Amino acid sequence: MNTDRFETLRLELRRGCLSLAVLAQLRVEHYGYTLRKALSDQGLEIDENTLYPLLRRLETQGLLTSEWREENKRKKRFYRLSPEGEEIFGLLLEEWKKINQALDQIIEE
Amino acid sequence: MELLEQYLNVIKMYLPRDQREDIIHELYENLLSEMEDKETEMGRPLNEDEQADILRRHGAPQLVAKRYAPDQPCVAFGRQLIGPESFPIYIRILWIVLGCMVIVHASLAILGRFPGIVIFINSMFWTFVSMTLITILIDLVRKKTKHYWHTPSMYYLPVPKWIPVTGFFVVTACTLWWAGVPLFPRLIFGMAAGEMELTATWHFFYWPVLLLLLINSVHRGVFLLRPQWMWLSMPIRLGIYFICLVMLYFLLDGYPYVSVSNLETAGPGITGLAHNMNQIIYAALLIGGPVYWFINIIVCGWFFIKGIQYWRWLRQNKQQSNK
Repeated sequence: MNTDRFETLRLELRRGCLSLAVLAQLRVEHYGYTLRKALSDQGLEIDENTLYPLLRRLETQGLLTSEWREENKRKKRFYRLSPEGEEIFGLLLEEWKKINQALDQIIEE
Repeated sequence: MELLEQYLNVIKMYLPRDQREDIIHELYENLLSEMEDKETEMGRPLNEDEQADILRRHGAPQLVAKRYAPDQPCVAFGRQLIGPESFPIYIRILWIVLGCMVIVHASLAILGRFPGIVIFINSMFWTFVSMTLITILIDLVRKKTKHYWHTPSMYYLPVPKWIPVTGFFVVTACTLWWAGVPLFPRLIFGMAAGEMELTATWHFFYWPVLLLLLINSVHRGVFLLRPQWMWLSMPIRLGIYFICLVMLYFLLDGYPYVSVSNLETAGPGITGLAHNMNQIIYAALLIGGPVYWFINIIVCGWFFIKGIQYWRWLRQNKQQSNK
């Protein structure tokens, strides 16, 4: 059915955008739950099941750094953009803008 | 937050060992923060259903774990036979079973009753093959069944549907096999069926074993259709396992279990085979039987106690809602 095809394409479209959004949001330090809330408050809903493993993947790739720290008497894992992540984020953002611009033009034609 | 801990315990089973604690700790903090946030929003502590809703939304434990470890080992020949969710459990059980077999054979060797290296290698090989085939089958059933997180109450562990389904089919297959043995001795003796037979021990034990298997199979079928009767299932299972243990005690006195039909015409191969079969059955009854039934009695006992707690909890909830 069309719904399945749409869902597959939607997921593909979101995949790259989510990484970009997470990198952008992590210019400020967050732990998993507050990051999800911050993204959601800005209109980007992302389920925990996608976000938490994604954070780990990005950290493994060296784009994020993490640190266990106490907050409200509980230890939480805080993530933020690493220096390498900042660099890559800048490049990705440029790429994103180019794609967006091109797409706008294509759609307007 | 007992429910949260139970949920995370199930996820833990499926995670790669080296990252297990770290992932679970992080998930615990994130989910707890979410629950606390919800509590602040509602101005009261979350009840169990509300906690379960958050966990259910988070996803079935196997699927959550899979997201963290997408490249886990599996068994595949062209297509995937044992998936990454089942693979760690398969390997663990395989090691335990093969280890137990080594211990059994070593014990027999110490007692001077070692059945021989060929039988030892054969039994290890066939155990490996049968366990692999069983896991492939279980995995097939599991893949066809939707993952879900079953939380009627915090007193119950989540039981994926494929577990009772597999249990029912395995017990029913065993029942049919045992029922067919008198008519088709090949089911036990294979090619040597004409030259070997069951001893008098089984004249007494055959029917009680068949009856127990039948009861077990019927009760598993009933609880598959009526999972809410789980609390009744546990006392029945406990009864079955207890009777099995008593029967086992008398069975151990019933050695030998198979014999050669006609000693005059039988070759030395058949006599040796009968001897080895007796040794293996005896060792299985002596070591495997008690281990299997004791573990089951402990597990069922635990579920039984939790069932009583659940029943009390239901009654309390009912009384509170009546007020």
